[in-house]
Amino acid sequence: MLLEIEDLRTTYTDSSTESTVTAVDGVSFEIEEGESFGLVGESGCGKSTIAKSVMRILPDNGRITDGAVRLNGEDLTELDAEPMRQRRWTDIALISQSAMNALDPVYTVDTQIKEAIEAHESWSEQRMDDRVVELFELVGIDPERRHDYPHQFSGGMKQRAMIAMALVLDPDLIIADEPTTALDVISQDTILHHLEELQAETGASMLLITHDMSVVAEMCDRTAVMYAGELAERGPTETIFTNPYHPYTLGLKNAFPSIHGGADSLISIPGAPPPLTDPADACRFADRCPFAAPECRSSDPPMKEVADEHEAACARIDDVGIETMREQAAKREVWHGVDDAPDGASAGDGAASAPTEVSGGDSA
Amino acid sequence: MGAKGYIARRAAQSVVTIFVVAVLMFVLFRLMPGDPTAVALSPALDESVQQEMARQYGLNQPLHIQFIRYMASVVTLDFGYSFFQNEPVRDILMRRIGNTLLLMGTGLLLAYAFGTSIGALAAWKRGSFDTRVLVSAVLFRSTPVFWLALVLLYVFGFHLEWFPIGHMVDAEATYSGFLDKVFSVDFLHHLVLPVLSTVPFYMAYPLLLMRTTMLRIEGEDFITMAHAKGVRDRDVFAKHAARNSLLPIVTTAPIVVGLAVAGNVLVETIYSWPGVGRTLVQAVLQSDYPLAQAAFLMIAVIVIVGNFVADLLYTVIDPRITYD
Ligand code: SF4
Repeated sequence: MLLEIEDLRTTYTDSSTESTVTAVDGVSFEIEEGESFGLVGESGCGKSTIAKSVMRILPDNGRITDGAVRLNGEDLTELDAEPMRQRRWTDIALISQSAMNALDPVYTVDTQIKEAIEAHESWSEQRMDDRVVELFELVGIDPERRHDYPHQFSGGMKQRAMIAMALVLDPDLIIADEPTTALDVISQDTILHHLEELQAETGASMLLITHDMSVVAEMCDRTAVMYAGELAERGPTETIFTNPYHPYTLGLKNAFPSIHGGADSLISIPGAPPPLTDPADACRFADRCPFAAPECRSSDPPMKEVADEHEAACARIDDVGIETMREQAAKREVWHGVDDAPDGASAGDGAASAPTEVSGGDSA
Repeated sequence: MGAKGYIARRAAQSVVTIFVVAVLMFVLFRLMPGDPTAVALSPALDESVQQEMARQYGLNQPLHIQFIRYMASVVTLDFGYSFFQNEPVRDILMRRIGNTLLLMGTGLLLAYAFGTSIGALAAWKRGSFDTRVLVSAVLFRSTPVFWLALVLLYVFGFHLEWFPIGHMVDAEATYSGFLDKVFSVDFLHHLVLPVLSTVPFYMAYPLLLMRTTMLRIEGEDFITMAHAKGVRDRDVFAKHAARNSLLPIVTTAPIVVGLAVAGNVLVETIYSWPGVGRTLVQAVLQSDYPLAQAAFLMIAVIVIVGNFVADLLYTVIDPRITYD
C-alpha cells in the first residue's frame, strides 16, 4: 500500500475568535501503487485540506490533531520538519488548484522547476537543463519557452508547466487538486487525458481531488465521496457511479449530466453543509437529506460495507431499501420537498443550514 | 515599446518636470516678500554703485527679460553670483551637493536595509517580535526628525560628549580630497548623530509597508507551492516572500526620498552640515535669491532623479512590467 490515511483529523483555529473548525473529521482511505484515486465533494468539504495535511503544508492556523498518514508505511505526521521537507516532491508532488497563481511571477518557469530539483538533489546544471527540456516535450510545450516568465504563458501552458514540475523528481504519488478548474472545457479535457497518460507512463499513483464527478468517472480506479469533513461513501469508481448507496452521492450524481441521461434530469441538492465549528453527533447530511429520520440525528453513522469493497456512511440504507432510495432520489420533487414541506422524515430540529466557509480550506 | 524606449521616455519626462519646477520657482521667488534689491543693494552705498550692482544682477530689467535670463541660467547651469558670498552660485552648490547626498544616501541606505529586513522578519516570525517591531515603527514614524536630532545632539553631543556637535570634520583636520575625507574616522564620527536622527523616521515607512506586503504575499499560492516543493524555509522566505514584497517597496521609494529631502534640510541645519539644505535655509533667510533659487532647484532635481531611478529599478525587478 502506497498511501494509508487513517482516521485523519485536521482543524483550523481562528485566532481572533478562538473558534476551531474541524475541516477533516476522521477520514480514512488507502491508495495502492499505480492507482488513481478520486476524492469528490463540494468546495469547503475539506478535500483540499486532506491534500495539505498529507504534504504537511497547512497554513499556520491549521493542525493535524489526530490520525496517521502513512506513505510506504512511514507515518508522515510523526516526522520532524527536515525529513518531512525531504519527502516533499521527491515522494509526493502537488498539482495545485490554481496554476494561475502557483508559479512565482518574478522567476522564469525554468528557474522554478530547477528550484524543486535543487531543493533535493545536487545535479549538474546540464543534467537539470536536460530534464527540464525532456519534461517540456513530455507535457507538450516548446522547450524554447522554458525561460519565459509565468505571465507569458497561457492558462493551459501554466497548467502543463505545473504538471512538468510535478513529474520532475519522479514522485510516487501525485496529488492533483482541482487540476483543471481554471481552464476552459477543451483544455480541461486535453490536460486530463494527458495527465492520465503521464500517470500510466510513470507508474505514479494519483490522488485526484475535484468537485466534478465526471472527471473522477473518467480518470479514477476508486473514488471517495466527501461531505462536510467526512467520507460519505467509498468504493470502485464504476460502482459508485452505477450503484451509489449514500443519499449524498445519489444527489451529486443528479447534478452531473455527462454520466447518465440528459441535461433535463439535472437536480441540485438544496441547502448547504452544516458549520464545522461544533459538529453535532448526527449525520451531517441530515438537514439536506430527503430520507432523514430521527435516528439520523441521534448519532453519526459510521462507514459500513454495502457491497464488495464498497462502503457508505448512511444509517437508513437497510430501512428504506436501496432500490427505493435510488428511485426516489431521481425525482426532483423528492429533493426540493425537503425545504418546502418538512413532513416528519425531514422536519427534525431544524438546525440552521446557512452557507459556511471553511477558513483556510477549499476555495475553489 | 521596449525597455529602452520606456527609459528614454521617462528620462524625457523627468527633464520636462525639472523645467516646470524651474518656471514655478521663478514665479514664486518674485511673489515672495522682501525686495531683493533692498537687501543686496544697501542704501548706504553710493547711488552709482547701487545701479552698477543692479545691472550686474539683472534686477533693473523688466520681468520677461529676467525670466529669459533665468531660464538661460537653468540650461547653462550658470546661476550667477551669490549676493553675499562673492562666488558663483554653481561653485558653492557643487561643493555641497556631495555632502548632502552623502548624508541623505547613508540615511536612506540604512533605513531601507533595516526597514525592509526587519519588516520582512516581523511578518515571517509573527508573535511578540512582530508586536514589538510594530510598536517601535509607529513610534519612529511619529517622531519628528528635528526633535530627535535635538535630543541626540543634547544627550550625546553636549552632555556625554561622545560625538561632535556639528560639521563634517574637525576644524583643524586637513584632507587632500573628497574621498580622503569621506573615508576618515573623523568624518564617520561626525556622521553618526545626523544619520541616527533620520534613520528611524525614514525606515518606518519601508518597514511597515514590507511587513504588510509580506503578510499578504505569504498567503499566495506560490508560497504554498514553494513549501510543497520542499524548498527550505529560509529560501521560501528570502527568494519568494521577501523578493515579491520588494515590488511595492520600490514603487513607493520616491515618497521616502521626498521625506528624506525635507528631513535632510532640518538635520543639516541643526548639525551645521555644509550641505545644500543648510545653504538653502541660510540663503532664504538672507534673501540671497540666486543661491536660494539654485539650491531649491537642486533639491527638486534630487527628488525627480530619485523618482526616475525608482522607475528604472522597477523595470529590473518586476518581469511583468509592460512598456506602454
Ligand atoms: S444517515 Fe439519514 S440523514 Fe444521513 S444520509 Fe442516511 S438517511 Fe440521510
